[in-house]
Amino acid sequence: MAKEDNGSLTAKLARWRAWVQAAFLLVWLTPTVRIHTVCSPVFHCYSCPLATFACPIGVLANFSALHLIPLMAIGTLLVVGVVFGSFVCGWACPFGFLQDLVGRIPTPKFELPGWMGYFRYVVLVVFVLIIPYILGEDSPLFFCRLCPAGALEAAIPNTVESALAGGELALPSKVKMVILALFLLAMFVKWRPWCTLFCPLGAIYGLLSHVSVFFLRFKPESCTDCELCRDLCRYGGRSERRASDQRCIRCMECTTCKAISVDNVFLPSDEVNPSSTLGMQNCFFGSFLGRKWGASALLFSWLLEKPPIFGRERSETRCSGKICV
Amino acid sequence: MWKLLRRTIAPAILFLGGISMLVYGGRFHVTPVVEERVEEITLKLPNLLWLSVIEDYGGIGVLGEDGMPDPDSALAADYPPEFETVTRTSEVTRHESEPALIREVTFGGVTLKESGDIWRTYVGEAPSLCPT
Repeated sequence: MAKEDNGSLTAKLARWRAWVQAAFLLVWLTPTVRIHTVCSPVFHCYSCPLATFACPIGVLANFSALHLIPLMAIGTLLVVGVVFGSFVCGWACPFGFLQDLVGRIPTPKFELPGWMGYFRYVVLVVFVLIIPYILGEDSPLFFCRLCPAGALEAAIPNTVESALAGGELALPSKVKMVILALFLLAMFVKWRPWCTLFCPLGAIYGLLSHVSVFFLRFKPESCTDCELCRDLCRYGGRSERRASDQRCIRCMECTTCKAISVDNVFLPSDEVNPSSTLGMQNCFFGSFLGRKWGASALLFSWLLEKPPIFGRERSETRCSGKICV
Repeated sequence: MWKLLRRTIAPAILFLGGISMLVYGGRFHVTPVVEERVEEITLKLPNLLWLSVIEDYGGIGVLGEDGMPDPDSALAADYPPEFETVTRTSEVTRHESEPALIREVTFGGVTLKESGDIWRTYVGEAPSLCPT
């Protein structure tokens, strides 16, 4: 039986997420203001005719090609990511907003294995950092030459603008357009395919979510195994512990359940029942940072793809077993 | 107190590190960028025919202080100086701040050469579109 709406502020706020995302568009897209000397914390191509700020991933890739360290881009991501974590993904990112809008179209949605979310780190390390560093910005594998956001937000509008102005037509690359077409199709059958599978910025925020000031806290003592959290999570929710999964975009839909709430590191934390963590409190994040629940959730969700290796039976978990493992 | 410290120390360190990077990168960090500067120089050359006249007159009453025909002399109009425009290309190194460099990369304005130097890719007006 699903739990009723607990009426919490965060649950109410979650209903307004689309409006918040739309409001942020007014920040990232302006017809006259151009501040391309500063990076935004979201994934938006700086070549977009309306882009206010520079794209942090584009700056990372280009500076890697120049063999320079982009201190301002890294500083921006650290400051925003440490405070908000992947709240940026769920509430501010324009490309994520587009995917949410397309996802609302009532088509059958499919899920992919959770381990595919780690491909984001491959994209970040290989396509954003290594390939530009070794091959330069002229390489066909340079990230900006493949980016679907760049294709949609910059290549197409600029091509149309050139055509209307009667100037020389610079057509975007075919590879870029094919990648964009694939992602546009994928948006109809999967929630946020780019964010959950390939986004390098989401990978960075996913890492920083482990230490972010604001986070989603799960209270196992309040959990009644109703599976409401899994029903509410559109992005591959597999257990209530996913509230702190690095693939979570913190849309706060799961905060409808009173066992999950938005919290911050300055508030006193409840001690987690050790039996519910399968003895994973010795991991780096759990012991060093004191965020045992968050670290355990990370390892827990990873273990969902693998047989139990710690010798604990499912019935030993605090929950019924059909949710957690 | 110890629990609060343990929870907040990592975010605090990363946050302060991020702020430091922003301040240093925006205010102090500079990168040398080489750019090709093309200049057009106009040279004022004496009329070659005028040189043959100098011998006849001995330069008296026909040359001004700059060695060119005295504009007041009768021969000035007959032997005007010649002007030649030459193009000179030079390499100039400028130290760009990081915000300026961020703006440059948004339209592919800089590139890394094999020599290890960062060069500006355009001369004169900056391109409007990113090459990717």
